[in-house]
Amino acid sequence: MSIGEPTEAHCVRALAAKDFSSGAHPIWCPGCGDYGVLAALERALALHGRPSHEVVLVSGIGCSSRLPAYTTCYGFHGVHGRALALATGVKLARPDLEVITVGGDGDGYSIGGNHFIHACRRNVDMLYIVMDNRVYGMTKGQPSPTTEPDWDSDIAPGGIGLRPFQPLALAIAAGANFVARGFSGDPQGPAQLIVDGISWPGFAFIEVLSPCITFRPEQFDWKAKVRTGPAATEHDRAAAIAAVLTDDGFSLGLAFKGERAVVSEMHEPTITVNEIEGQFAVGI
Amino acid sequence: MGALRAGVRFVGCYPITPATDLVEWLAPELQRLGGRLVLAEDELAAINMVIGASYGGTPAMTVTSGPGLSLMVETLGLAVAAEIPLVIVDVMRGGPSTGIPSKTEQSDVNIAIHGGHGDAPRVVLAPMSVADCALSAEWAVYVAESLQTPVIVLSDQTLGQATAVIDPGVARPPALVRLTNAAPTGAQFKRYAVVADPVTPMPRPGTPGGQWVGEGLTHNEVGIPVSGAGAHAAQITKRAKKLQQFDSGDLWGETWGEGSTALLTFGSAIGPARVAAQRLTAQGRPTRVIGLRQLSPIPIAALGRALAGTERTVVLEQNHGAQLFHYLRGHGAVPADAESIARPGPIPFRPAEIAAHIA
Repeated sequence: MSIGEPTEAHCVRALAAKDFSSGAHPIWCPGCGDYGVLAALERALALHGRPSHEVVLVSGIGCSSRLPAYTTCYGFHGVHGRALALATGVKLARPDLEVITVGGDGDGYSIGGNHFIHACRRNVDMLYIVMDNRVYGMTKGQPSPTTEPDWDSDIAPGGIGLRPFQPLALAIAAGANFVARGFSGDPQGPAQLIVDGISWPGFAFIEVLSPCITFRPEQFDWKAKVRTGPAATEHDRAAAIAAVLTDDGFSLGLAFKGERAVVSEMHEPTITVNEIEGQFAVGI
Repeated sequence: MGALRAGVRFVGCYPITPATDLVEWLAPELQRLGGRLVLAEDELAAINMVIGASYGGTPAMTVTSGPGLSLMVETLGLAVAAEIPLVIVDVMRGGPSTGIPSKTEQSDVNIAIHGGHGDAPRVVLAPMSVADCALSAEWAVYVAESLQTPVIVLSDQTLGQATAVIDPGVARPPALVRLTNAAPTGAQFKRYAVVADPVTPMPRPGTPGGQWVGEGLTHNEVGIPVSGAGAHAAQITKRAKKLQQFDSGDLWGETWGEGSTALLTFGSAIGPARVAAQRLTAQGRPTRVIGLRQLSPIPIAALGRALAGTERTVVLEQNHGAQLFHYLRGHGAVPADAESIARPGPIPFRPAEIAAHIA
């Protein structure tokens, strides 16, 4: 495990996953993949070693976006699609905090698509976890940007007929420094990816396949389809994109790791407000 | 300048005529003060970044015009519901839609006061002159921080792109700060507690034991989403009470001159109104001008005192729909027989035109 050197926090008392659980009962259906992601996040945060009052979980709208209140962290449950922008504001104002954004495929790739692109481009040091179940679950079963083109639904009979969104390829192309895929039913994988993603400088994006057993019961067979993918491509974005575009969407692990510069920290003041006021003086 | 004096150190914005000049001035100054201006991908990102920075503990602001404010109103509602301080400066231009980007108008009164779905009251202020912009902006930040609410500052292209020599020795508004202290109780912290004071502590993230989740869903005192009538009413009432008990003292506005005719207006219309009133007074038709700095909540008592002794009230505004007139009249803040002078931009009011209407 890549914990690194023990910090003072580790020496005083190691954090446990349960330190990060608020005990609130999630609204998720029994069997929802998001339970696995929540557990992975709690374990990862304990391993990472920062206490819950130094972590901010930001989310949008949807089943997965209900996650922040199930933890003991600070957080914000904002409006649909804008979580990454809100998280960017938190992190840029408070670079001392750990900022993690969570949400679903609708929140992140549809209404949130523009902010997803620019968050990758801006490369602020924070983590984004999308729980992808290829459906809008909260609103009871409409196709999302990652839904297969022929999936039948009331709102799109016969299927939406569109090529699914390719979030990993887009994230790599837009500039994210760490791009990975996990599976909620994998006991160890997502927690490790989260630990690595938080630690790696820049914008880290992890798409976690997280089945919706209520509206997509056929996703029960995902656990048979997922497999460990090839080693991550480093530095070469074009090669990494080519690799993800040719996989079948069930290849797990890190796809790309890059070293783009991260948005700089805040500067120390070099002027006072009174000095700025002095600029306006007009000698009369 | 006023915003910087009040402690704003984060601005998230998207350029829009005629607001861009303001943010281009702010960008280097904020950086030199150790703050940051982020050029967002759109106004939706801008206002959400502002919420994030404010949640993180930094007074934050955005600057836009009508079309940008239209994009922001959903998130404005989030700031109301989650009780997050922020300031939106709207430098009004010709509307609706793309309108007349480089010309002045005062047609965003409705969206500023009411924009957004649901019951989402907020504070709306309007600087009364170029000289008043710094004071109004500084005060707006203090109001936002102390009431934990969004505050919209309605400027317009005339004020926003004018240059004037002003007296810097103007009075400063009393400084106000946000409430962050959360006494550790051992029990779960109640960010949205229903207690005597409707303003409840919002601990700065990083404070042990103060953890809270900002919440746009209707919530209980802890901030957990609920849908019952009791909690919904309790929280709506809590937020309304913050504005109801807001006392702006002498900052609500100003009266110039005396007379049985009152010309009531705001923003860049105040200047021409004052000249018109002086001319009318010189012609033997004494006219006073009442300028509103505070549009929402309506300073009913102060306005009532300012109108004492008048027989005729004329509401002056630069929009077609008489937005301010209908708003004030609907709330009983002006007499039932009050009159309206309302015409849209792009040309600023001329004193002669105002005087001709009154005569």
